[in-house]
Amino acid sequence: MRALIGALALAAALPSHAATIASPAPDKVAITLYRDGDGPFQSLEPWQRAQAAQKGLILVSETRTVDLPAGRHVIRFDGVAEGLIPQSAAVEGLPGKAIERNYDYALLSPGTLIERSLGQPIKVVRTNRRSGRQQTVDATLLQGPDGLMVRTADGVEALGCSGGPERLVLARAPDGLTDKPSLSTVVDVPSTMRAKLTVSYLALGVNWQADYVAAIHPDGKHLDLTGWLTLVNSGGSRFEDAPTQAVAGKLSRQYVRVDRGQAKPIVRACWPMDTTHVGKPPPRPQMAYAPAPPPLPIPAVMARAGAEEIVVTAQRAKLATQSNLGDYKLYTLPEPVTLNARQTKQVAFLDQKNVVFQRLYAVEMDSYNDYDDEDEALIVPDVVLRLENKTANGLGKPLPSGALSAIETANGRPAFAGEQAVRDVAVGEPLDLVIGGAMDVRARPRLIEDRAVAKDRVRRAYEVDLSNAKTVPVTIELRQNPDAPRFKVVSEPARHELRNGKVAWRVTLAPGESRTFRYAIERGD
Amino acid sequence: MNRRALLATAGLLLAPLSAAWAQDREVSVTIYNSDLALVEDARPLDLKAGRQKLEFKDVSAAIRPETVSLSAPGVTILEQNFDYDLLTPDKLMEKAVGQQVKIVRTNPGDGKETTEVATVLAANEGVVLKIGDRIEVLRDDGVPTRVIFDKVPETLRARPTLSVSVEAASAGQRQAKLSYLTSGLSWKADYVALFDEAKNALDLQGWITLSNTSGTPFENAKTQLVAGDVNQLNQNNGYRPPRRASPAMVSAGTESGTGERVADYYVYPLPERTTIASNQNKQVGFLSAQGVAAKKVYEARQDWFQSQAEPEKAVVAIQFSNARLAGLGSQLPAGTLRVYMRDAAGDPKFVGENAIGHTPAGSELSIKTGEAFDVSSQATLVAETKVSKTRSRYEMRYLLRNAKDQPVTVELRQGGLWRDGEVKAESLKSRRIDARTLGWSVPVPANGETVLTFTVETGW
Repeated sequence: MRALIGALALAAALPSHAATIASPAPDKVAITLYRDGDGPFQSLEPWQRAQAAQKGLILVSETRTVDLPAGRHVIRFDGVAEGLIPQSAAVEGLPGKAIERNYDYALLSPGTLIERSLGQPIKVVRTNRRSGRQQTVDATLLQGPDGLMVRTADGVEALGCSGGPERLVLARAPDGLTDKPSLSTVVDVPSTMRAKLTVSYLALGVNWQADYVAAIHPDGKHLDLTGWLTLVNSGGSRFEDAPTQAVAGKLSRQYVRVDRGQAKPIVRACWPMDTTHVGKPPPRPQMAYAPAPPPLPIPAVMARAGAEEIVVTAQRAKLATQSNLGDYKLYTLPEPVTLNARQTKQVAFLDQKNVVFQRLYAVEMDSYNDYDDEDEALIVPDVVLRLENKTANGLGKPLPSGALSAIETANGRPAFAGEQAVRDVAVGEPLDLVIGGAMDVRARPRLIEDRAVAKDRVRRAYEVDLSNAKTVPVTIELRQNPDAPRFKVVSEPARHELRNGKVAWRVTLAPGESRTFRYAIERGD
Repeated sequence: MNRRALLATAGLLLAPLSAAWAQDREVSVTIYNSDLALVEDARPLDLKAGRQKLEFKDVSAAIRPETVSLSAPGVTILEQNFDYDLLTPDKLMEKAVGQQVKIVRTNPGDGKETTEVATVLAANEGVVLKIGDRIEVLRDDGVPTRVIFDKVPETLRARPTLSVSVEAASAGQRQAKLSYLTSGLSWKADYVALFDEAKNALDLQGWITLSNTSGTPFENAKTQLVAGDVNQLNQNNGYRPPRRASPAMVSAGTESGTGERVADYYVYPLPERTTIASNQNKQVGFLSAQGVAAKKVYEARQDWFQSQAEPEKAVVAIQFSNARLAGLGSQLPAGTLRVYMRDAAGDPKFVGENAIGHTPAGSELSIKTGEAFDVSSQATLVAETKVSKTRSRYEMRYLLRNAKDQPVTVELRQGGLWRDGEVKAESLKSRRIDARTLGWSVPVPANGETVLTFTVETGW
């Protein structure tokens, strides 16, 4: 009896399609990562982070060798990446015309097994708890997976409602159910041959961003900029020894629903059960639940004390090389890498020494604020690192979006000095990095005049007390937001600039100096 | 009666007529874009003379029962029923109230089974039984107790079931045709465009992607797909937004398309019969064209007169026509168009995707693929002054940057003109796109910048 059941279980595990030729795994795989999501991973909540990693797109290109006899076959590609977008798949190198391409995501699971075996003869095996003797009964599956019911010679019974040990045994797994979603193509092969196929497709679940480290020199005018490509594989697929590239730039995307497979649990739906006495009710029958979701990834370089594996592969000497792809930037990793499931990997792509930058203390002014709140009298200026992405400044390299952390050296020891999101910065563009709030530089603004100059126009004059308690000279950039109807600067100590949409003045303060800056604007009321 | 015979009888009860229908069945499916399909199911029926009930268990699980029609020669339809009271253990117990069931207790001590006949008195919160002259609660003591029911009431079914009561004039086999609408079947087009920038051309492949989430496979079905937007009730509470074509279509074509049509729609028959499995996406190629004339443009747009704090990347769009002259000459059903370009090593790489609507042949299309890394524009509102009580003057400056090693032209659009809007001064000649919008084709040198300034006056 036991041998029979073993044979049944074996039969159930065998694949059912005779005309299907399986290609078990790719010979070689190459991947190209695309960046998706707004802002760096560091700025996201954990759940958003998981989502951002899930949204990332990857182009997978696989080489496979398949032996094909003549005739019409289904070639099934096993071992494709999780999150595959079937619409994007392309199979090249087929010997004949591809009749159709299929993506099946009906998964073999307890629920689907029952669902597709309804009306079939099955066996119910009951085990005697005392003697261990098993009793097998022929039955027909009447209903499931929401409420399991069988018909036996005795009558109609529910399964899993009696409290006794009983189980179902099926002769075979129904056709068309697989352990993972599967991609296949139907093809007419004119003559027996060995085909070399290229299967390429887009998949979700792998994302990347750039992570920069700016090491500021003690002179306060230069920094060393190191850039890392952070590859985040939040899915369960492993890409072994894969030539890897990353595309920088923003692609337009369409929402796509990825069918990762439809598994179904069995729900018992037993009749109401209660007892006449107080106490522990009889054990409820075990409900089958879907498996718990995989742990959320902790993706970025700054993930602290995470259990995830973070692998840093490249030495500084080996940088990813950059080329163009249409209007995007394409980074090619120096050598093939193995990207494991749920892994974060970093490879350097940028190593620029002695990049010139300017440190500014930015004070933002608003033409609607009266600056009369005693509690908020002092403004803490933003510490801004201003870079011009030019070769003359020691840079002149495209900077893909991501995050930057600044490291300052104090008494020969590095100290973290703040981090900031970085947008895609092309060569020639300026880049302002706000890395923190100033400690020893302060500004105290006052509105000293508020006067109607016409029926619908006011003149407002400001005084800003600026002070520098540092031991080095500082440059303060006073910025006035011109976002007001018919805004105009009417009085100023020096001619302003229009910088990034703001009216801006530069004031340099010597160590320990304080100064008052006066100006006036007019705007519509 | 031996056990095998009993089981066979049970099988018959389950599916009274399905055995006779398995052969000579011809299924054809017409799938629409909007989660809808028309299924026609032709098969011979063995009928006896007079009234009878036919059950159809193998129809789509997502059937719209109100759309069913059955036709067979010499058969009168009396009524059509769709029953969806589903069999579960608890419902069966509820229906067994007042009836006799068998209960089988397994003694946990010696494993002995005792069978008794019980009458179900109630099934509320727990099951109350009358066994002989005792009243008990089922499994009150936690001892394993099986309940065996004699039969399943006719009204409880394993699956929602369509049944038709008919009256046949005479006994015999007849060719019947069952047709109905179902949801859960849908299709859209997927396009792959390989763009060659140097040649200003693209190769276009079109795929039909159909998906079956209806829960039912359609075996060996004649399949055709209808491209178009058919009206359906019961969507959005009766609210229907005005139908708009996709913004990807710049101008609508006037060429007649290729292929069959039904009413206003295009029909794509699949060349061979196919099996549409449950939970399957199926793709079949329907279009292939090489060397379609195409070009790439950079677009930048601002809808109001204001400054931008950061450079804004220009949008990259691939423009092509599906006119016969351009090398295509075919209508394009709605779907997603994915654009690929070759990288330096010659491998095609994905560069962006966008949706297109149903596009008649001869139309101009503009597919936004993404943002240019190296081309950007940044606007500065230099001054805003009052001209009169209802008029203002805006002085704008645009800085366009190009970090590519070749010159580009950016199509810049400035919206925000209102009543009597006019250009007072400009560094480059503009054209009026419409009453609200100005347009410039701004050349930007390789690795360089262009500054565009203009002054407009507009009322409000």
